[in-house]
Amino acid sequence: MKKILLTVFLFMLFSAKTPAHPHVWIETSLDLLVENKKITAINVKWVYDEFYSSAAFFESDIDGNNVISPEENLKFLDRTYEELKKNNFFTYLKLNKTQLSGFEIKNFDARFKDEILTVSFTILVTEPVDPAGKEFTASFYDKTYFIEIYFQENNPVSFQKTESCKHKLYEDMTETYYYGMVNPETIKVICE
Amino acid sequence: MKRLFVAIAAFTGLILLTAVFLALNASYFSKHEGFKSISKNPAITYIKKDVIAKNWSRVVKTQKNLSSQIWKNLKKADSDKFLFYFLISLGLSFIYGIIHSLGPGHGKMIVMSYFLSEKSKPWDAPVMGFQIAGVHIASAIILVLLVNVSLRQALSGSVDKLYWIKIISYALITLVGFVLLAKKIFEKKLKEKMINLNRGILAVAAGIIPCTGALLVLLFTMANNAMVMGIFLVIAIGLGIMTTLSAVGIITMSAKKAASRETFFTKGKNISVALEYLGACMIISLGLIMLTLTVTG
Repeated sequence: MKKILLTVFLFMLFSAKTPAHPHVWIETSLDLLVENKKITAINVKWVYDEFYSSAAFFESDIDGNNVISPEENLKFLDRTYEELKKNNFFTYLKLNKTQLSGFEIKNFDARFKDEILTVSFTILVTEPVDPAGKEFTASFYDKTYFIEIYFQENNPVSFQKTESCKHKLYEDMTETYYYGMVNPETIKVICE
Repeated sequence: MKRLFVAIAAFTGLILLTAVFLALNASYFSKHEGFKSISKNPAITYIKKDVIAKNWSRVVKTQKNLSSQIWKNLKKADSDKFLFYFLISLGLSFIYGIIHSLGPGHGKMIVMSYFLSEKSKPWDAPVMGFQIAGVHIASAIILVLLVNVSLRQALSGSVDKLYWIKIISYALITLVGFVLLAKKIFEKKLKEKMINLNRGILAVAAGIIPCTGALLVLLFTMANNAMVMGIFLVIAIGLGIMTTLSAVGIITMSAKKAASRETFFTKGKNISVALEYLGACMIISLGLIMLTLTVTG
């Protein structure tokens, strides 16, 4: 009994690593555009969880008629874009472990379908990256860990215009956030 | 003087323990990377997480699924079977609270450190759990009802205001830690009122940042003109949080008692005293770490 209690206690002590504190969830999938063996763009699709989506829906529905009009959607789009821009779209791209800051966001869209919010955008890599022989990684995370951004389980990454690339999904142990307690899920692109 | 040495030894022990833990952790993950490939498809390197990473992921997924189920049941509650779906939502909210509070956060660490540091009765654990969960949930209800907080404010706009709340609460945690440590060093016995005040301050400091999960539930039910239902649901979440924190407190007390038993090799009383010093030092460290991380961003 004494051993069990001490084991449980030690487990609790070290369970601060448990990544279970988010309040908002986003399921991510990526579609990478590879032209002339270089990554030129990443299409990102985020599907938000139900509670956040509903809260966002009701806040956007200014006239309260349960329908988001094009004007309401435009306002919502602007606000969401500005909010995400402040956080650099929670996007972390790295080439050989060095952060890439040169990217711009295009085709930003945010819409509700059956009250579920989907945000999509394209990351245009300013200087196209040749991933062969290099380590190109992409991760999306909110440092405050209010939001858990995780990759879709079945088909998190697809590639356009290439068949020689594949991806590896892993938890980047060299990167931590939320007081060092959480490691981001990361996609590594491997091309021949 | 002897007790001052014990305090210094406890601090050193805590730092060493942390260093050993971090070193073990780093070496473990460098060997395992946490994941193994299981895919036969050459186009996809599908990675299977190892046991630890997989279990933590399960906790996160369970929390997400519970949130999803609560939402679906609340949607169905707008029908003839209102009571049925509402009760299911209440039950799910309670479980959500239990699982939510298993995750990282300083509340658990404060409860553990406090019950290591102080001689307490089993009943004190649910009292402290109730205090932390109560403040955590009440601050969310107050924010929605009185301040009429919007979704964006809940998630981002009020961060600047939260900054000072965090600074004050972490400073208070550090202060109470020093009071508890000084009490040990100078062998002072505090009056019951003072003990309750220390515990109360720790509980308020640990719970004052509003529960965002509760905020989202309240905003959702408010938008559906079902605010009272929302308040019941967040109370259920609070009871779940209280359950986890109470369990953490009781396990800590029991572990301390078990470790303090006299054996052939150890003197139980010395271990008990060392653990009490360690608990007070942990509260100080936790307060200082959170304070530093908040200030430095």
